[in-house]
Amino acid sequence: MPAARRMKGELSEADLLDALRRGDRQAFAAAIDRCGDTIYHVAYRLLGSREEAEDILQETFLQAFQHLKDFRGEARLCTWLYRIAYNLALMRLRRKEPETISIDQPILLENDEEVPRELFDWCCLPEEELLRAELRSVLDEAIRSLPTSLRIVFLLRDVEGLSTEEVAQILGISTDAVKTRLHRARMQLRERLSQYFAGELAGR
Amino acid sequence: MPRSKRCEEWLGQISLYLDGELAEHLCRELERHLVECPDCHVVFNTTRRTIELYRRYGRVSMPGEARERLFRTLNLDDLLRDESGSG
Ligand SMILES: [Zn+2]
Repeated sequence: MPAARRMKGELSEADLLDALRRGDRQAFAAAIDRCGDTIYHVAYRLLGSREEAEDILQETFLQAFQHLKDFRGEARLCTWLYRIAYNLALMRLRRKEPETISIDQPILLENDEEVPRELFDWCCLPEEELLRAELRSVLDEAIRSLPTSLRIVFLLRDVEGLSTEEVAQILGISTDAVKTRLHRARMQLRERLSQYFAGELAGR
Repeated sequence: MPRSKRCEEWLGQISLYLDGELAEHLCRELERHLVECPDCHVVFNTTRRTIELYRRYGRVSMPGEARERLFRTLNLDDLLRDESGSG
């Protein structure tokens, strides 16, 4: 089995970090393969373009590998990298869209924004049925429609499967804020998908 | 929307429920409500399905070419062939 893949599979967090600090090149490759997908995903969902996602991917690893000594191991290596990527993407987003509300500020919501309106029950339709309805582009569009502060929480928690604590560390917000935002994100996505499926699939 | 204040309160709890963070006795009460209230039942089921669909289809991974360019930028090109799956 090739070395980098072996490393990725077998190296513990501590060993990987030691190897990185020694400047072990295979450890650098292993870190990319361990954390790169999520970094790319975060950047892509925040910035909306593959080119910019790749820029952030590069900037993140360049910056991280230059500043490895700043990483004290208080979080997982990937968590630290995700935080760097998130901050780089956010900086770029603010340059692009200065009006973007600060992610740290409480989100102002219309009172009824979370009240479900569409009650078409698509939950148990077979997947082929949903897939026929161009599912992927529907999912993409729905998640894009979320405010940044909700979108990032949803993708880290529900799509990437990170823990509430880890997401709180990455975003620099409280775990309660993560939970609140996750719930709002889910409700808004549910509403979007329900409207879509109701239009496409209801009354067949 | 013919739903009561109680429904809104229960729907506010479904994320905690789905994440296993709702207190045991509240779980039982919520479950009872879902049996009795078709509207909340739909919202609950479609929320769960929404999460499932995103888990399965919502992920975006680093493309093989992006990975290659990253390896080159970091002078790791010689290690590229070590991961054949993403080319
Ligand atoms: Zn109800």
